[in-house]
Amino acid sequence: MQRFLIPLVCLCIVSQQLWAQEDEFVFDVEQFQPKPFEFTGYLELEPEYAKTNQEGALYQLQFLGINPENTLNQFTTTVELEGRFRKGIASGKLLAHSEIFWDHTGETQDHALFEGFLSLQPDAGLVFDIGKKAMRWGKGYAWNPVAFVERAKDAGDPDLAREGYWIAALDWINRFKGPLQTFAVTAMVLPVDEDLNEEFGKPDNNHLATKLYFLYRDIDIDLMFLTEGSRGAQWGLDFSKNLAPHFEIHGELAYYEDVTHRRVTDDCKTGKPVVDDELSYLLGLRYRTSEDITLLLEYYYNGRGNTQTQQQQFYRCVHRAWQAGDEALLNQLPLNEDIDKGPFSKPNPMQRYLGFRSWWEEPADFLYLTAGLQVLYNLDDNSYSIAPEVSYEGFKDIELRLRGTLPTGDALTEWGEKPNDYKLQAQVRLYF
Amino acid sequence: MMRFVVLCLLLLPYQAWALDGNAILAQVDKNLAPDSYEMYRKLINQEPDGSRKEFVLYTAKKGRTSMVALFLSPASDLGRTTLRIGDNMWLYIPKVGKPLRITSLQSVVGGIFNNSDLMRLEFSTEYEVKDVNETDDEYVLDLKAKTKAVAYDRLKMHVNRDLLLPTVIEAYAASGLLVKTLRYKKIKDYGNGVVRPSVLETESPLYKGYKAVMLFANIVPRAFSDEVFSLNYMPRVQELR
Repeated sequence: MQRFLIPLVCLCIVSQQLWAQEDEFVFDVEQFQPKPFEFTGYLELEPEYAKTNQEGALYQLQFLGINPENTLNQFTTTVELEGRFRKGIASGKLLAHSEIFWDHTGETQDHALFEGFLSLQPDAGLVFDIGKKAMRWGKGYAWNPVAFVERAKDAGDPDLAREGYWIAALDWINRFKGPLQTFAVTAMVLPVDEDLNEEFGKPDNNHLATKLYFLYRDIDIDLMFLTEGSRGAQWGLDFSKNLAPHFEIHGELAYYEDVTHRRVTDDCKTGKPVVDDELSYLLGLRYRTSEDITLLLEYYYNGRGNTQTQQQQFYRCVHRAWQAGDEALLNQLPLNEDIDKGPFSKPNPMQRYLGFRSWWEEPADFLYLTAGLQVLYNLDDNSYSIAPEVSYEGFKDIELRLRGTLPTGDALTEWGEKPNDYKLQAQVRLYF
Repeated sequence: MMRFVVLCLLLLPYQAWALDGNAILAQVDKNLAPDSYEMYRKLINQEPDGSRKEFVLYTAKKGRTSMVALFLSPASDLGRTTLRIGDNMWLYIPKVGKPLRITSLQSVVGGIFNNSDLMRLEFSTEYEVKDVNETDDEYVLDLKAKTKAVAYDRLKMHVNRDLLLPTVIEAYAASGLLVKTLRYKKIKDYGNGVVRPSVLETESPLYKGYKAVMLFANIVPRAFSDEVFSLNYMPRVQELR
């Protein structure tokens, strides 16, 4: 019996393996057919450890009047849910973003609808959108001077999702044969009142914003403008082109009317603002080596930024308030409840910057691993930030990221006055 | 003698066609896919230990210059879209929210497949036949890239004589280095006259022990509006399906 049983078992195993090999690669395409409703999203866990810089003005701004901290531990949980539906020429999208944030002050929650809009698309070349939608204008990676209708971007982490504005927009596309290959118009109305898009600027204004896109002789070109209202009128252009297969150049130029420059007086009070027209521009180069290393270099002139003299005066005044232990002194300065939005405390508040970023995909053939380095350099005060990072995408629907940030600079410089000596962040993102 | 001359003259057109590599290549392109079509693809990156990462893409192509591909899986890549118009290539990532220019040698999926493999238009658009040899079973075409924007400088394409479909393609860098070998397998009838390999297996001496496989499904001729192939349309490609 055993004589028959063993070959029979072997035969079963071999045939099972052969069967498995035959069906080694299976593609059940039916499960990917479109559905009227689709839900996706992610859960992100982000612990953060920072060694504080108690000499830094931005530390003192946050800790005046409360117990000092040598280290700061934070933990952020983010959930983003996206829903889409389609029926005929109509479609819609909802993107909800929730963050729960724990730090030395306790728990903070932030829930927002990032996007929620309805689209009507009578044909491929024409679409109408109404609702809350995030627009992304510009070709720059770290900065976008022509981003007239979007919320401020963090140059240290430019890919972070951002909330949109309530708009009514149309998009019209036309393709041609010849040097002009594509022409597209994006036009929108952006209303501002006390309950709608209130963060955009002064209430009771309606804005018209338009972007014209041209693909002309393999060059991407955009022309854009925003009419006057809550802000002064804004005009801009951008371009992007491959000079060689692995060498790209891009740029942006923006002209802003009636820019308000906030001032700090010699006696540390909010001074009379200066209003002037300003120009900003960005020029960037991106090169990819044969070893799969991408190098990106950008120069940014921010005409709306603070002069070094004014920025230093702000830092001096914060130090003066800290040394006197006088919160009232701080309250006389031009601040914002959100430190990242204050005219002197927001990221990159000055005028001349250099951004460098490199990332190496699959170094030493380590599949799905990317090692990167970002350097942001303030050319006005010679301070800088170095941020190495490594990310891994080898597990299904999981992204892992580890990042360090090391701000470096003298006293009264942008990165010398940051609240941290260094910062370490880990990020686990689970997609579903 | 006269009969021999007549026979030679009669055979001449056939011989000329048989050894016209560019005509063979054009027919290979025609047999691989209709001029304008949509299809689904699954990409599988298999590591030496057998572990796999899989991607599913929806692809639309029109004519010899335009193609767009949308990632449907995994969830972390959902909505990623690559667009190609001629030598120009862009990548749209939903969380970034705007298209960025990319290059053909770059890989949006990691591993052996690069953008050129995912966004190939037609061989005859990118390559010129420099030499053609024939055996009893196959033609062997020596292809040279028309521009430096093409990922592989030279291809050695083995073509089944009867079916005029590729069986093996060796891809070489300008230095002469063998970059990868592509093997087309499992001929399948997709309907509408589309009969072609349903599996493409790829190996590379640069990734020893790794294998990349592309499975093709639902290749269907379909007419698309030109406007579908534009930067503004990239966030809306899933509405094509």
